[in-house]
Amino acid sequence: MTNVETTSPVAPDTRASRAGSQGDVAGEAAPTKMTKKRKGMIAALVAALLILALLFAWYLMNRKPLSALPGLSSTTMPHYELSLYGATKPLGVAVTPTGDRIYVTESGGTQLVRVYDRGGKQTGTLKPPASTGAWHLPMYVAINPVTKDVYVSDRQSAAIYVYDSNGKYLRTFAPKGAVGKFAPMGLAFDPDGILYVTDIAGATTKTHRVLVFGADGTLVRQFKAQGSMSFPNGLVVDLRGNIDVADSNNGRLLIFNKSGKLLSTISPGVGEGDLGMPRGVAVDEAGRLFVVDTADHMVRVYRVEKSKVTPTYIGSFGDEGQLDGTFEYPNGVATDKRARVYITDRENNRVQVWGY
Amino acid sequence: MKPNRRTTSYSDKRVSRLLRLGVAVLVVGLMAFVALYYQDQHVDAGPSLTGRQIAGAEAAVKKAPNNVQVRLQLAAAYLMDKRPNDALTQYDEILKADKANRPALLGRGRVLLNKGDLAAASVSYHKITDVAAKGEFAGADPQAQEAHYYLGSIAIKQGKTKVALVELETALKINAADSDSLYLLGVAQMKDGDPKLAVNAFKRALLFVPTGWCEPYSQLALAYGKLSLAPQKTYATGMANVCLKKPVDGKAQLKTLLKGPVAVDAMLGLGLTAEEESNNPEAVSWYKQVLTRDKKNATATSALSRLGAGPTSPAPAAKGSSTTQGPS
Repeated sequence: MTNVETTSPVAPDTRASRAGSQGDVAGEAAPTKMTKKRKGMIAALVAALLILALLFAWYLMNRKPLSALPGLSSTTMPHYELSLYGATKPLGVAVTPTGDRIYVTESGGTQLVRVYDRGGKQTGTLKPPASTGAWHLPMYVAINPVTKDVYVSDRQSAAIYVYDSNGKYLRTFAPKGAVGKFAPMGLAFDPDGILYVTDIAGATTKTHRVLVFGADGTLVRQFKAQGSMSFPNGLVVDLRGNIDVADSNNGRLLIFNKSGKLLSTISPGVGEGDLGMPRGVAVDEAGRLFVVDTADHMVRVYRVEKSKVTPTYIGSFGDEGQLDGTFEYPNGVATDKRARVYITDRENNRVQVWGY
Repeated sequence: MKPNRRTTSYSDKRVSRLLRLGVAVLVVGLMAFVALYYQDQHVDAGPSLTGRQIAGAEAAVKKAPNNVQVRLQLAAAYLMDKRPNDALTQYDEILKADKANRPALLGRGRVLLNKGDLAAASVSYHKITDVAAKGEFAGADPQAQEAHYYLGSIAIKQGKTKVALVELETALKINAADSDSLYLLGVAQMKDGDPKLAVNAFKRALLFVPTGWCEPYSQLALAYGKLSLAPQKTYATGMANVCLKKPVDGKAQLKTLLKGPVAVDAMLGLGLTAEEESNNPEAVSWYKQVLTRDKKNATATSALSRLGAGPTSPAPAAKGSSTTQGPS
C-alpha cells in the first residue's frame, strides 16, 4: 500500500501535501475533493475489511473449513484427515455437533465404548455397571440431541444403556408398550428426541423391524418392509425427516417417512450407487447422506433433495486396504457440524476422520 | 475556484494515515484469521497405521532377530509402505537362515519382479516349484500355484512363449478357477499363434470375472478377429466398450447381434450391462429372453436368481422406485 501512495498519479496533491507539511498545519481541515483513485482505494479497503469481518463472524459461528462455505459445490468427496487408534474392532460411532467428543463402540478387546477428543486422545470409556451382567457387546451409539445423553445398543445383553454427557451411567433404556422380544442394533434420534431403533430379535428375519420410541420411552410405532428386513443395522433421520435404514443383509437402503410408509429403496447391485452390504448411515448439514458399504470397503455418498424421493448418488470414497484412507470392513459412520465424517474401520482397528 | 492548498494537504495526510491504518488492520486481521483457522482446523494426524505396524515390527525384530515370522511381518509392512528394498533385505535375512522359506521366496520374487529383475525373480520362484513338484501335495499347493503363475508371467515378458504355456498350464492344474492364470494362458496362446485355444482361455477367465476387467474382452476381440469370426468379434468389442465405460457404443454393437450366431451371448451381455446401469427390470427381461432360446443357460438362471426374479420370485423393482407398503 505504501507503493500505492508513492506512485499515485495524484502527484500534484502529493506535492502539495509535502509542501504543506513544512508549514503550519494547525488550521481546520475543510472538506476537499478526493481523486477518483483515492476514493476507490478507500472503498476497496472498506469492502475488504467488511468481507474479513463477515468471514470471521461466519467462521466463529460455524467453525467449518472454508471449503464448506455456502454456495460451494456439495458434490465433491471428502479427503482423509486422521485416524483415531485404540479401539479393537470398532463398530459404531457418534460425535457431538462440535466434533469435540467422539464415542466409539468396541466389539473386540474390552468391549466397551471409548471416548476421544478431536485430536484422537482417549478421554474416557463408557461401561455399564456389573449389575447389568458380565458380558457385553456394544454395537451402535447415538447422542440424544435434546438431553445430550449417550445411548449405546448392546447385542449381548439385548439392551440400550444410557449415559450422561460426562460418561456417567444413568440407566438401562426400558421400552414401554407392546415391544415384545427386543434386540436393538442401530440407533438414531430426530431433532425432537424421538428414538428410532433397528431390532433384530427373533429366530428368523421376518421379525426384523424398526421401532420408534417417544421421548419417554413409549413405543410409538414400528415399521417393516416388503419381503422383510434382514439384519437392519444403522439408520438416520435425514433432512426431510425421512428415516433411512440400512437393510444390511438384503443389501439395500430403505427410505421410510415418519409414519412408516416405505417411500423408496436404494437397491443392491453392481451399478453406480448400488449397494453391497450397507451398515452405518449418517447425514450432514449439507444434505449429504453417507452409507457405509462394508463389503465394498467404501462409503457411498448421496445427496438428499426435497424434490426427489430417492437420494441422488454423487460418489464414493475409500477402498480396501490398510493405508491411510483405505478400509477393511468399515461399519459405522457419523458426522459433526464442522464438515467432518467419522468412519469406524473395523478390521484396521481405527476410526478414520475425513473432512471437506 | 482553486482549493486551499494548506487544508487540502492536511486532509490528504489524514486520509493517508487512515488508509495505512486500514491496511494494517486488514493485514493483521487476515493473519489472525489464518492463525485461528489453522489452529482450529488442523489436527496432527500422527503416524499412519503402516507406520505404526513398521515401528512395532522393527521393535519385535530387534527383540528377536532370529524370529522368521516377525521378519516376514516387517517385510510385509515395508512393502505396504512402498519400501521394496527394505523388504528385500528382510527376505534375504530370512533366506540366509532358512533357504527354502516359501513366504520369503514368494515375497522376494514379487519385489524383484516389480523392480524388473526378471531373471532373479525367476530364480526365487523356481526354488519353490522345484521342491513343490516332488511334494505330496504338489497338485493342491497354493504357493506353488502362485510361483508357476509368476513364472508364466515372467516367461511371457521374456518372450519365452512355450515356457509360459507350460508354467501357466501347471498353475491351472493346481487351481483351474484362477482367472489371472486363464487370462495369461490366453495371452501366451495368442503369442503362440493359436487364437482358437486363446478364445477358450479368455472365455473361461471371463466366466469368473465378467465385469470390471476389460483386457480379456479386448484380447477376445483380437482372437476372434484372427479367426475371422466377425459376429463374435463384434460381441467381444461391444463388451469391451461397455467395460471401458462406453455403454452406448457397446450396447449398439450387442444389439446388432440379436439374430445371429451369438444372440445368446449378446443378450447375456445386454443383461449384464443393464445390471451395471442399475436397470434390473431390463436385465431380467434380457435374461428371460436368453432362457426362451436356451432353457438350461446357467448364467441367465443364476443372474435371475441373483436379481430375485427366479421362476417363483416377483419381478424386481427398479432402483429408486416407490412402493406403497404401509406400516405394519
